[in-house]
Amino acid sequence: MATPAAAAAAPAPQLEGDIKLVSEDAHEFVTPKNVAAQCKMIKTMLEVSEEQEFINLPNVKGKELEKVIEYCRYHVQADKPDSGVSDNDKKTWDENFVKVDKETLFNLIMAANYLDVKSLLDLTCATVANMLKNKTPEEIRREFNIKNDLTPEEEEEIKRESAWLYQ
Amino acid sequence: MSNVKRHVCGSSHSSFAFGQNFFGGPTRTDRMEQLPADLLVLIFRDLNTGKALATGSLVSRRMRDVLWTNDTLWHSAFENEFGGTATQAVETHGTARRQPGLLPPPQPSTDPPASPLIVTGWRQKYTEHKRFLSEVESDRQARFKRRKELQRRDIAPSAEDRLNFLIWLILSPIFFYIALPLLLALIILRSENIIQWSLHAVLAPADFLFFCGLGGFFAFTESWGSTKMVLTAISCIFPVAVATIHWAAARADWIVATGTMHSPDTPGGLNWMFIFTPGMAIAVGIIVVANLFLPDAGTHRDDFFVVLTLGMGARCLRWPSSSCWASSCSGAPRVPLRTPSCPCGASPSASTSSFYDYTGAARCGGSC
Repeated sequence: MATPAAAAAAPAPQLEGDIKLVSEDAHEFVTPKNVAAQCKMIKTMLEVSEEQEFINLPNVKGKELEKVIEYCRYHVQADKPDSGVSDNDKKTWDENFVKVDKETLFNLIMAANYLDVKSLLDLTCATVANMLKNKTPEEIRREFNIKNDLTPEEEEEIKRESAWLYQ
Repeated sequence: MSNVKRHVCGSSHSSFAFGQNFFGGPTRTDRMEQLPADLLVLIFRDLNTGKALATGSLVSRRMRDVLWTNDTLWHSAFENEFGGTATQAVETHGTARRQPGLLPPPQPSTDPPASPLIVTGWRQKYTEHKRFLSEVESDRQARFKRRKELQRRDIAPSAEDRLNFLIWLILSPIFFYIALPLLLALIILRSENIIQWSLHAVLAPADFLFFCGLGGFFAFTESWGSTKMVLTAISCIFPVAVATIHWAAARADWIVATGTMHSPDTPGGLNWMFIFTPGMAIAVGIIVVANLFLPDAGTHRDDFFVVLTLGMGARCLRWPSSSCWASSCSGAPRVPLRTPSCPCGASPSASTSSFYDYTGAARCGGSC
């Protein structure tokens, strides 16, 4: 699994105090601004108006928002030069972090994309990519509960186009 | 999470009903299908191989549409798999195609034209390059098979091959059994009777045949085909078996007289020449026939040559006692090259180191 780069941006020193993040399903999370600022989207909002007390995040559910905050908090701490956390420790933590059910994983991808947390997006995408690796189309469908809506003709066309795959 | 305060606010904060996801649709487990195209692309970018892209395309219509139409993904897979820059790789196979004889010209496709949906630059380039590599590989395999086929095919040796072999067959014994011993005798051993030595060498058919057999073994080991394997085994077994019998017999003093030249009237019995020489003759006969009539004859004559050299070297080293083997040299009666006679009519002494000195005179010791 790819190790995500260190949390996207260094915490802005001027971001002090807490901010309340409100999820789509009305869960509120009070979190330090420097942690929240790991999400570029939130950081931009904070930079525009430092005084705001809460931010509504209508595209992220509480469960995933909590995970995102957990991720950001860990990396804010772990990425500090004096944290004593090794890259291996971070990698292990990341691997454990994404051991979630598929629904949550895909929601995390969406959340990371929406909140613009690049390292989390990379981590979650790499996790899904690992699940896809070396699987046949049928296995992928089974794994992700995808219905095959290709007509036999379309399948034939794809196979013809990708004849090299079967050589 | 101790300092994250989690609250559940009133439902007025949420415009989504229970059971809905943020796409507004019902919660589904096939979330991968529902991912926006750019996120699907991100996932497949991590895989970064044409195989993954092609496999993903077969999963569902939407994935096919996303993956087939994303040029960046194919470009990235192309560069990831084929190294260098994709442009260079395309150039490479373009150049290879233009070289006459390197690859057959691309066959016109009988496939129906691809739909506009699937026509993307780098996917086509990827496919084309894969086809190119596949052609190169099949071409390589075809050449390999052809070469193997040629190697297997039985082609009788040419007249030139046969002539070469016969010349070699005549010259090498002359060289190894006459010229070399003479040279050794002159330069190293400084024997007074080099003629005798040389004659001794010439009259050593068993040794000659033995080394021919050994040489034949090595000569054929490189072409380990079925026919030659059998021939090699035969030509190997004869000398080894016979030499072993001979050695064992000598150790047990079953035969007292050994060496390369024997008198049939060897005291004590069995004359190993009767075993050894026919065996060697068969072995050498096989080699001669093989070289004259079988495929790839003489292709390993260099090996044969080397073995003969080594064999002769070994033979020359044991020359002074060439009429002895093992324990039979340590006091048992020796068999002379020809029946010795002492001037006084007595038999040569068994206690001397040899019946002969190398002047050819019998050693009669104190008998006369």
